[in-house]
Amino acid sequence: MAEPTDVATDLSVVRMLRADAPSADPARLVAGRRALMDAMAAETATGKVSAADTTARPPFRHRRCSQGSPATPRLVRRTLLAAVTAAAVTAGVFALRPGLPAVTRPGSTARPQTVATVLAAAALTAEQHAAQVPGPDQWVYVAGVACEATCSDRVTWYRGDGRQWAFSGPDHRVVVRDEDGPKKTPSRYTDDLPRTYRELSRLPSEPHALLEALARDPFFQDTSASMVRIGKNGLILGRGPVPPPALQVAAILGILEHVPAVPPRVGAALFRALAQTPNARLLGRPIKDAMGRPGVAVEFTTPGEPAARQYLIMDPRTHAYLGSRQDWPGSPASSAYARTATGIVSHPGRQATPTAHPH
Amino acid sequence: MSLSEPEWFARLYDRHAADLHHYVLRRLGPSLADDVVSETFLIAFRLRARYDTARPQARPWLYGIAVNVMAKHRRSELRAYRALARTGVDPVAQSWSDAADTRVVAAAARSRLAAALRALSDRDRHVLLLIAWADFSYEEVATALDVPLGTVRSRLHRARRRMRAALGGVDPTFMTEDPEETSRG
Repeated sequence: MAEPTDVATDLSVVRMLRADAPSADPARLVAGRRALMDAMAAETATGKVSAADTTARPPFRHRRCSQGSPATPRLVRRTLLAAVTAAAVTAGVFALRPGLPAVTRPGSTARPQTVATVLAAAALTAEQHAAQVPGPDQWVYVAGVACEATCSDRVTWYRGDGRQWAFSGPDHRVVVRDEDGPKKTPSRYTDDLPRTYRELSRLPSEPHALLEALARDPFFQDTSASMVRIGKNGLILGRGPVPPPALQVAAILGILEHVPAVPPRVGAALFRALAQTPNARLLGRPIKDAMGRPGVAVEFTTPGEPAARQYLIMDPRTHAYLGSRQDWPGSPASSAYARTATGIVSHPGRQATPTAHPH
Repeated sequence: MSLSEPEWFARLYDRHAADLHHYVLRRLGPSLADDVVSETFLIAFRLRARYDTARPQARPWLYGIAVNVMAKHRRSELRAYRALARTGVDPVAQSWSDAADTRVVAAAARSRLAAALRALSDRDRHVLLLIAWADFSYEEVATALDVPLGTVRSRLHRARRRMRAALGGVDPTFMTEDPEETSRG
């Protein structure tokens, strides 16, 4: 501000008017983002705007804005969404620099990317990320989108002392719930965030030691998960425990998805451990997360098993965690998750700045 | 640089939508904020080829578009100022605030402030509120409204003079509620 601030000035009084206006509901912002993506995709597909015209022009004259068509192409965007979504997947890998939009196409990098280089970059990013440790009265805010049969927003807050958690209900009201109390084995990582943070802090940093620890420690294993054997005719032949290395891959992807506060050292180690798992493959094309954001993806499969293919999706510029996805070959079933923001806030209902694309 | 990619706009949305929503919410209320933000970004997408790539920040450009979108709801905004001036009840803030606002700005001062905001010209109000509510610098306001810097200064000077006159030179944060004042229009 060029004007000096003084509590008794007229300007400061104007500032105070409606100053308690709440921040936008994260779920509504997510919905708005999705609607914007749909509308843009439909307009691009119909050629309604000259997308190819990127020539620098004289400064934008804002008065012309109101002359734009106000019509919202809902029908168009619905019918063309699928086609344009496919186009978005192949749109390329982007690199942004602060303040200015920029695009870096695949292939412009100096050396070819591999699973090792991509996950090493992800580890570095995780290591540089400040630890999100809430105080006992603070809350960890996590916003994301989860898709199975349909997509839905997942906005939750976890109290730092582990006694309460909250979520944004269908009517966007914040519902606060008490945790049941200490459990020997929490059914979810997020049942007791302080304990989860302590358990994570105990894990070794060395990748192979970390993989062994994850295979041994029941705290990090999804006991409900099982490997399904399917015959050529599609019938289920049997079920069994998930064997290594799928066991550790599932554990790491589960931690990345469900635990909002991971010690940076451990976060980095998780990515480095993933790089050591066999049958990890870097996809040569961008893959979308549940928000429709294209990212760099590493695919994890289990040899000889027609089980799910799991994908870790990372920001193409920073290699920060974007989300994950699971596909089942031969089946239309698919699930995906995208994290849009995390942060420490003072009370449930408050949102933190989106972190998935730090600029 | 390419502006043809929807992904860039999605990232622009991630960076600016929350703040823009907050600004529009303060001016028009919750019922219009979602629509104005959506329309602003969609219009920005349609006009992306006109974006001056030499400019380092997209924020003034977006808010300039938002100002135009909000102009369609000018009557609604003015109605709210008038209601606040006459009754002391702010229809825009009703959805999120009960009496909380009165702790910040006493009711009488709010009423006079609302009356003064309503009496401002649209141009002066845009300048004042971009600076007071969106924390814009003079330069950003000039970019957003596409006017010279000197015009921003003169509009702000005029708007502030009216605010001071409306507030009577008294520190309104310490004013007590005065039922007679709240009836002024």
